[in-house]
Amino acid sequence: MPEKLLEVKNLKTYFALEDGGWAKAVDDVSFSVAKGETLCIVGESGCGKSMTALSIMDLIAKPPGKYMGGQILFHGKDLLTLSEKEKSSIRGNRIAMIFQEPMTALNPVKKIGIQIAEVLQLHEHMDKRKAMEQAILMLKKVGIPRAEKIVHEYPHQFSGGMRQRVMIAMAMMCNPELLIADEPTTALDVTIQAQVLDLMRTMKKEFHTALIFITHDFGVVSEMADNVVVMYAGQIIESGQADMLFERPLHPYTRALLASVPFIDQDKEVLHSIPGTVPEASKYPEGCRFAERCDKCHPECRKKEPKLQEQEPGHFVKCFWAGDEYCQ
Amino acid sequence: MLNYILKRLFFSIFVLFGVATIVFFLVRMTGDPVAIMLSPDATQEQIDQLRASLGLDKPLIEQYLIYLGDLIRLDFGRSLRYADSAFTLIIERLPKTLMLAGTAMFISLCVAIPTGIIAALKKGSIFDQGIMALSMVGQSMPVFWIGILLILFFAVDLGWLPTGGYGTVKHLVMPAFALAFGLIPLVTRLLRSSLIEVLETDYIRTARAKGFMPRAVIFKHALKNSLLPVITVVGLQMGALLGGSVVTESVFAWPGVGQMLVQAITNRDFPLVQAIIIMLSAAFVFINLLVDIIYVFVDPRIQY
Repeated sequence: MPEKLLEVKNLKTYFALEDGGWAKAVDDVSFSVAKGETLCIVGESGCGKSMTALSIMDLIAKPPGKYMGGQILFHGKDLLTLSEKEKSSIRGNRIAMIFQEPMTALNPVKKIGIQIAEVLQLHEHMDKRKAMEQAILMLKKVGIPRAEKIVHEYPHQFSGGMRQRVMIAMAMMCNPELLIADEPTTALDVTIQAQVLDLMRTMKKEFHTALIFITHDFGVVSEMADNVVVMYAGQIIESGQADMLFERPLHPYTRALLASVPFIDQDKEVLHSIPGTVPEASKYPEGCRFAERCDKCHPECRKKEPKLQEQEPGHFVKCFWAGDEYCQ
Repeated sequence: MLNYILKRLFFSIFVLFGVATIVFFLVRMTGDPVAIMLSPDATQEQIDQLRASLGLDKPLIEQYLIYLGDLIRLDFGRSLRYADSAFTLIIERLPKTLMLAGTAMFISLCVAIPTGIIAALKKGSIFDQGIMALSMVGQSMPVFWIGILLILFFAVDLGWLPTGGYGTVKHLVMPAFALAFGLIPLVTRLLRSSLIEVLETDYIRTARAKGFMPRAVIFKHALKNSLLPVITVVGLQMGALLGGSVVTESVFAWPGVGQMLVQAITNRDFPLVQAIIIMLSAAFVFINLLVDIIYVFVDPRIQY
């Protein structure tokens, strides 16, 4: 077992509601990432993927957000117990993050170069000129032409793909041990998506960075992942090595997700779609949270909540069915 | 950019022409200046003579054309009351008005920017609610009333400051603060709401993800972005201060342009009123242009 870099244990991130209740955005989630490994977190919108990532970075707005329990261990040290100053020294330095919307994630009134270089000035106390040189080198690495010129330009002068490259350059400046990418390709054109994925793989290899990649696209998962965590309604419902999960998906939700991916070599008339939507985080049903939309739903599923259980070595499922037969 | 400025300057000529026309006809509705200038027992002959010497005997349209002709040559006419060039009279008083307006604006920004930032950072806290409540009170108090309260307290009761007039720094304190009282709440509230909006944007989250502490996030990433609406309002208010300190200047007997305007209106000193209004409008137009130019430096997305 390779050394664990990040270990999330029973994390609960809730949001206070006006009526006094709680929206359980992340509800008892545990997973770990080893050095240099890529973990994909998959699920529909609103199932808690981004909130899990933002919790690791502690970028949750508090209030209304609150950590109701659990640990986020980075090199064995619980990030949730650190002071703001200690957390700031890790953010952007040892754990970096890139976001879904490159169009809005960069500051519109600051030059690209300054936005990249300031990471080094902040964490490595480099002087501005030297940091700027590093920024130019990094921009070249992420495949941006005319980097010497571009550092003096503003984000609005770039396309989405270029901005995402800038974001990646910014995230890699301090050579982080862990990079969290929150749907970094969702907002991009398909051709640009492929380029950005390629770039992320190259950067990961070059910098030996571990990666948490959040996506709802199984195509991306199959290209990137070593391990996969499938989330639904704030919980992990299936996790395991990527090839295991693709070969033998056990949870009906994972199966449904995989069935809804179009494959070019399949002659499907109509793509599979999962009926209904993810329940609201404030109104989870009793029993299994997926029961309402599950084609294998058993009366028992609505009464009792299944536990996340290891079905085969390293493959965990939170379902009474666990594959084909009902196994209570 | 230069093209844009030239274009704006060109169009401002039309604005000023409009102002000049309106003020010309408006002041003539206020009555006959000769009636005030001569004693009640003046003979008709004396009245006619004075009227002729001031050019007021000519038909209104002819007077208007002469007035426009003078304006084109930048001749603002002679004050009826002071028998001096209106332009010279204004230039003499302008520094005093600028000093008052500038000091008031400086005080306002010094107070409003930090309070706005703190209120935005502590949104919803007791401090924030207190600031907002105080702002409401401050904004709803008319400046002449604040002026009188200040005079009563600091000049009459405590005797620390002179009741009015011009000369030393002590004379400047009360009128400047009276003006600032109205501005501080305005800028505070604006900056607060603008900053709160900016703090919720994605690029602020990026800045936090980079490892900036909350205070550094404000100063390095949020403040500049939230200043745009503040700059607009500060510019407009600065324009308003130049002419609008009329009340304050009157309350504190501050010998500025505003006070002279009030006197000129009472005296039906047509050329002086016209000249002051045109110059204040020109200042307003110029400040607006300046604000638009400053935008370019604050937000690179804006281009002309």
